[in-house]
Amino acid sequence: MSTIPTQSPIKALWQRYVHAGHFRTAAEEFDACKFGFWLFLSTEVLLFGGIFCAYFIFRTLYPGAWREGSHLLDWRFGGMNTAILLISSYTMAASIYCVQKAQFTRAKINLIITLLCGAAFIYIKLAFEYIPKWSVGKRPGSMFDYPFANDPHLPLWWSVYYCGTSIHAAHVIIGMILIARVLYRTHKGCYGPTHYTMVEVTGLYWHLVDLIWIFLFPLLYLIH
Amino acid sequence: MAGHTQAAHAGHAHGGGHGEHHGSYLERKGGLIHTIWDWATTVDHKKIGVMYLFAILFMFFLGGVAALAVRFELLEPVRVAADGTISGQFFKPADASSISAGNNIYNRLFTLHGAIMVFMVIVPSVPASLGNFFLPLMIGAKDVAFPRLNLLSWYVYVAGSIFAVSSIILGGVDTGWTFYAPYSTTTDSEMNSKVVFMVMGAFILGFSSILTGLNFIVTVHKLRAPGMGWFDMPLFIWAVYSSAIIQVLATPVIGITLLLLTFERIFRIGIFDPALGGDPVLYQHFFWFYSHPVVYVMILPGMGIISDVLAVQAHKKIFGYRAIAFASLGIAAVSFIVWGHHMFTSMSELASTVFSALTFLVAIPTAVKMFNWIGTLYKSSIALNAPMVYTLIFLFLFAIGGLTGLPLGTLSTDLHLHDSYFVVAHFHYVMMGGTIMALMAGIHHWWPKMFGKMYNDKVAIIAALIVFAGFNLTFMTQFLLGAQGMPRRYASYVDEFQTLHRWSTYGSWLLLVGFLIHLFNFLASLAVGKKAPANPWGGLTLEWVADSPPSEHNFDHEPIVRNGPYDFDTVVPPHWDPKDYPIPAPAAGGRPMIAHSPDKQQ
Amino acid sequence: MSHAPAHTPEVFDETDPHGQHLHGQHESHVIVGPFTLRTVLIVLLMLTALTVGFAQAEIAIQNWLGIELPWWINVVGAMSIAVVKSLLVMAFFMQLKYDNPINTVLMLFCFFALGLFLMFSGLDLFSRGLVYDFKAGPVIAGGTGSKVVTADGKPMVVAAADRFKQKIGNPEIKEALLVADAVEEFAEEAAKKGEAGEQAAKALEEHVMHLRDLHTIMVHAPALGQQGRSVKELEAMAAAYRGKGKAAAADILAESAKALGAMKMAERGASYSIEQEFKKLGEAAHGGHHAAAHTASNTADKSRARTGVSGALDTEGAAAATKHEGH
Ligand code: HEM
Ligand SMILES: [Cu+2]
Repeated sequence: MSTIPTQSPIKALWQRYVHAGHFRTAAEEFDACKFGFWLFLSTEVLLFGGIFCAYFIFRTLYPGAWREGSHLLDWRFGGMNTAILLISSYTMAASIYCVQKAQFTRAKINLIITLLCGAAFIYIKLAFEYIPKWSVGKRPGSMFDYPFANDPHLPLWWSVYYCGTSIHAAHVIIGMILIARVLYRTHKGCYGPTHYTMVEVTGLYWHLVDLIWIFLFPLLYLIH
Repeated sequence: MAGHTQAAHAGHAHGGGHGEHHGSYLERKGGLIHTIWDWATTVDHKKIGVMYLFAILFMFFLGGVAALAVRFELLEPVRVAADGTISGQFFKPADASSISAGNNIYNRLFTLHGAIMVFMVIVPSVPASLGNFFLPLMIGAKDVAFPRLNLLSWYVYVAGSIFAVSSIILGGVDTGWTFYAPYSTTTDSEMNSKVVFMVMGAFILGFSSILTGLNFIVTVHKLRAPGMGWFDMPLFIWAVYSSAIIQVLATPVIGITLLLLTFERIFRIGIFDPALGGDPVLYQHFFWFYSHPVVYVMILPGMGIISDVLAVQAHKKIFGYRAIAFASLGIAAVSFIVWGHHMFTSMSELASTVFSALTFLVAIPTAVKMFNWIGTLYKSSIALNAPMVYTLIFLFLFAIGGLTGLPLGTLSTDLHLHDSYFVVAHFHYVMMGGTIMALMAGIHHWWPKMFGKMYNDKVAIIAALIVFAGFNLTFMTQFLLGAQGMPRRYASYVDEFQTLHRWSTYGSWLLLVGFLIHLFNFLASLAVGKKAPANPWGGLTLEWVADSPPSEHNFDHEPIVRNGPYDFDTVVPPHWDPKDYPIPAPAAGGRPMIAHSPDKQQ
Repeated sequence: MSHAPAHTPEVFDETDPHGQHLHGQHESHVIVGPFTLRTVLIVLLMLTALTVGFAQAEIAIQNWLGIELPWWINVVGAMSIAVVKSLLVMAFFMQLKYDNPINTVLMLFCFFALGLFLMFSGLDLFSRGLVYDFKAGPVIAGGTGSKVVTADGKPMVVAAADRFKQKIGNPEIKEALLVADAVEEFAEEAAKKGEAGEQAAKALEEHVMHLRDLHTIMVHAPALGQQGRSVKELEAMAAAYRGKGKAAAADILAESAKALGAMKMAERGASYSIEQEFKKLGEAAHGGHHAAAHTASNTADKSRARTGVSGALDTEGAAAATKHEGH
């Protein structure tokens, strides 16, 4: 745990940060950034809203396919990924706390754990879900080639499954890129107790990714 | 009483104790390359607004060319004689042997026209250009909340436009601007990329729209000048704010829709394709959940312009300020629950009935606005200049457009009118007669502020009247055609319709003439226009406090607002000079408009 | 750049009746401590376990007790837990609880819009055909599209099954299946040999599952030498058991391995029809690792398979077996 010595003649970057001129105070800037980001998050929710809508409509129209489809998913992988994302959400939140308290080493460790969790999520998704499923023909729409299906609408289930989870996975990857950037800039000393807007905002994004998964998991894996 | 009140002094004060004077935002910084670089990397909302304005006007020109071409094809019906010769087809490939080859060109042209005009012109038109320029000025801010995001949104806009337009180079898209599945996912199977390019273009443009909307919402919340409460904001701000809410909440749905459509197109995933078990009507729900609210993204800022221009040019306190402000929010709210009126022929009977009933709700806030505007005009001192002429044109045309929405929203009549020229006429009356006319009013109103030059008002009025005549000729005929049963999106028609179609095409030429005159008028203004005063119309909103054109940081001091935006009866306008506007200003003995922040005063 | 940071309060009272722009809203710098965060994480993980447990319990009740629960219990249970979880994440991790309330209002708006979207789309799609029957007409897979890969306008699931049937005609692949079958029979015999036998049987059963899973993948990949490999694996298993000091079970396994190696698979296979093999495979693909479910489906299916009455896609037994497969 390293703290910036307060009498250091050269101030760290975060101590030298000056808010943009069109804001009256740094606090106002921080507030505006967060509000703006929440607006962005609401667009993300509605983006996934399309997927949820398709799920909702087709599940009601073709319950048989949805029942059959969810039985073809293994809740253990979904559950594992849920736990991973939850833990990473915690480490992300903890890293914000550490930056606020100027505990930069801890902050970096937490960010690294978050990154690793993201990578683990993607790995599980690929290695235990996408690849084996795809290779036995459990594919969306016209690419469907799984011989043991009963319900004629099963391909549609896979369409919704792949669209939902792949768009989510893309968000995980984008989130990881943002976190990597925050990690780098934390290392450079850009963030500290008086300036941590980007850390907080990246955290919000990561939590949203978690939030979407909190709904995707039961919808796809548990509801039958 | 002579112009130099305390308020008028405000805009001219050169930094007081600070001693730094900021030049106009248009001032050139060094050589040509340097200037271009300066504009390309600027985060100044004014420059970005101007860049948007030019980009949008360019796209308007492209879309207009496509429209003229479409109208040209419709001069004559396409006929096939007994010996197989084809007549009346103006657009056909050189080696065309069949009638459908030419018709395909027609389909591509109207799709191009629709997609450009909707996604690249009307949606961003007012908010991104005038909104960007004037929103911070009108609320007394130095810039929008996220200036770099603002610049990004411009580049995203350009990228999206290039994407979409490049689909023509690949041969064009014939889906219509609505991209209805499964047609859009199966047409032209030999060349996926065209539709994908067009759809991805629209997808990217959505991001630009979201970024702009998000920026505006935060700006309005956080950066209003001290003293400016919510109900001290100009109505233009209310309108842009309401439409920004729609932009943020509706645009992501078109995002996912177009993304799924692209997946569908490339991978055949079948969510919208009945052949693969999907549901094409679901596509329509997805599409119209965005595209109905977005028609209010198109019209609300236009309505905002009208509220402001009308009050200033009629020089009277706006009638029913709160009613108009809440009507904007009301329209935004209602817009989310009426989308089904575009799907009466494909939906369940129950849903159609419900949506039809809900659609009538829209008429209420819209009518509230109309009546308030007319109430404002009553017994006011109207300056009949170009902005006002365009405002009156707007009121006339939008009334027709709005009223014809009602028979379309009525379930029983829409079954006859759906997909006919009546719909085409309706939405041109609201989109062109509404939004574009409001944009023209706004450009004329704020041109002196944006570029610091006056234009020739007489020429502008003549051009406006030509546009008005051309518009009605073009589209009134289409109401008649539609009511008689002419379906939309056909390259040909039965002979009985030819007279009306011809007149419609002549009208489109008149429109072209009108807009060309405007173009020359603006160019002349830039080249030789006389220098504009800071407040040529006697407006009371904060943009008139700034110089014409505004300095780089808008205001030398942060203004403090003490009065409402339309208190013409009690407040002396800033920079007031009676010779600029020969209207009896009520301000004699009135109080000054704004004050400085205290530490800058005296 | 002249922004005026220091305003005296009395000026604001006069000109800024709302008083929000220059002060206020800055208390959002609340620091959420590690204790809160950790507690929330633990609650979230417990809720995850709970929702999984809930779904599993439901399945167990239906399978073992044979009680048909109404479908909404499952849905309402899973979704309400998800809502609680998301509220926790938003309130604490995303700090909405401590934040400017405008952000909460915004999110509520957003969910409201989403709700409208779902509600009105549903209103249409679930109420078709009230007046005109054709509006409720089914959307038929493989129905109207012209460029879909499904040959002869067959539904895609049928086409996929047909393609598979053609492939399974390939003797190499078929053989691999028969190995699995044979091992299964050893398992049945072993099960009769007392406690040690049961242990061996369990190992064999697992091996069968493994073979069938592998096989499903194999259909889409070059065939492996299933028979030889299986014998080797059985021997390895026997060795492992011996290592654990379970000699009796190990003996049975070794015996099975020997017998399997000696068998002439091709001959045995002749008595099975392709259809029956296919049927078994379907079951293997659906059948999980759950021993009870597996045996149930197995016996149901064996009897039917031997009498030759099962249809290609009739996986009733498999449906009873339910549950997840390996990947
Ligand atoms: C008074 C309020 C309005 C009502 C009641 C109304 C109603 C309707 C209805 C029912 C339709 C569907 C007609 C059909 O396809 O059969 C329609 C089409 C359309 N409306 Fe409106 N409308 C109103 C205002 C507006 C405004 C303000 C705009 C845009 C600025 C607009 C743009 C459009 C467009 C673009 C279409 C055609 C979409 C297409 O099919 O390509 N409408 N309107
Ligand atoms: Cu509409």
